[in-house]
Amino acid sequence: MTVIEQRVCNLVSDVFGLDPESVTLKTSHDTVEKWDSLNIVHLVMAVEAEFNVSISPDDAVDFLSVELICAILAEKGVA
Amino acid sequence: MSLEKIRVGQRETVEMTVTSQLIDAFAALSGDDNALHMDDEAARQYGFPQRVSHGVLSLAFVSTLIGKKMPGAGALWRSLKVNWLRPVFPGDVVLITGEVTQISPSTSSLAMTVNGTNQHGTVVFEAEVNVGIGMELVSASDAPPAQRLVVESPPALCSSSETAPAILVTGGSRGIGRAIALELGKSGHPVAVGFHNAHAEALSVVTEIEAQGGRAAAIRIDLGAPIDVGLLREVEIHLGPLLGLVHAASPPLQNCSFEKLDRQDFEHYFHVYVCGAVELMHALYANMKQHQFGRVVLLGTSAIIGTPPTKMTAYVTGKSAVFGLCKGLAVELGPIGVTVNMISPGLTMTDLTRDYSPRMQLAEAQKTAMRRLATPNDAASLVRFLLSDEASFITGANLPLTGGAVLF
Repeated sequence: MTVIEQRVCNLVSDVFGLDPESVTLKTSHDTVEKWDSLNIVHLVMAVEAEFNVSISPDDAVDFLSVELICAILAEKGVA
Repeated sequence: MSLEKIRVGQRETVEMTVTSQLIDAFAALSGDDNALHMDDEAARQYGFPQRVSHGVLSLAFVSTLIGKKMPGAGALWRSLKVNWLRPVFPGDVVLITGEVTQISPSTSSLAMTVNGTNQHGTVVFEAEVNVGIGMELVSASDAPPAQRLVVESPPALCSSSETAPAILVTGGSRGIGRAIALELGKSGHPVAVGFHNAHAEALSVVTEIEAQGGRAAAIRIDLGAPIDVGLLREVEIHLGPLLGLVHAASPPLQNCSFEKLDRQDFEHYFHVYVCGAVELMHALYANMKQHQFGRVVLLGTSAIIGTPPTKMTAYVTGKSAVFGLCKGLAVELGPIGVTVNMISPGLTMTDLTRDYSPRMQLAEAQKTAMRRLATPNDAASLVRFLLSDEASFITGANLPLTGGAVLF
């Protein structure tokens, strides 16, 4: 796991109150009960602050899994 | 016995006399010397009066029935479903009877029920079998005169194991078409691998099919021009009559706003997708009508189901027209035994879609209920089914292959 991926995992762990050890790239809205629209807003804000990027509404629609969030960050040049 | 001489309801029998020596010989041959089969005392501990014959020993005599009597020469036993109902003991005489229940001239095969009845009239096993019937090789003096070969792969010998009809797969050199060609070859269909420019790739597909024991040939098809029917006829010399078409060929996918498209963009897709299929069907029609059999699968796209993506108007228009062709041909050719269907995959990663970024792939996968993208093998499996006897009552259908991303 890269440093960026680990940082995203940490954010997800923090926002959703998950055991950090349990969060992987495959952690997603399918596996986390609290991964709902309200918490996605919190996650977006956390990602914007952590990586100093702007997340558009179109990007937020794809905040569905850790690996998707990492792919969005990669497109924004965060690597 | 050739298929023409066999009738539904026809019966043949063989008799199996079970002895201790026969059971001992089978145990030595198979390695199964389980005490239940070898020793009376051991068998009594399991509630049997004496040692029990191996169930599979009965199947060896079913093999005799198939190989010597029904259908006899050329027989190739393809499948078996069996229930062993009662034990068989040394001293039993089992009459094994096979009755033909179905004859399939298009696939040169028959289905039979087989049962074994012992001397007490008790049915000891019931089975259902499917048996192919191979054709004898044509002798050199009967072969047609040599013709100029434009089919460049070395022709394989006719194999008695292949009784499935020959299928032409356009776009068979790459991507979904390639996966379809390989799957059909593995399933016993002789395959004509159509290509436009990817000659080496097409030959690679042919080689791979032949390495698995199948038969195939590469054939160049330019769907933007009138079809060279002579090439199809030459392929048929090696593969047998082409009784199926899988139209998987596609030009590169355009992602272009409507204002930048012109008439030629639309015409190009129409020529490849629709006119190409029409010409090929005209070329195959006589064979299909003669055999009263045909299988056609046209490649569609999930983009024509529901709301299409933007900037793909020419492509969506062409594929929508293919669905019209599918339905028109289905109702018109059904009476001569031809089914015509369409499969519409969602995003499938091939060289046509290699520009999709990792994010786009992941996001598209999230839209499917199965949380993954389609693979070429998903399409290949569905096409194999649509070409099978089991799909003989499905026609005019457009089957989405989207993992649940698009639902009617």
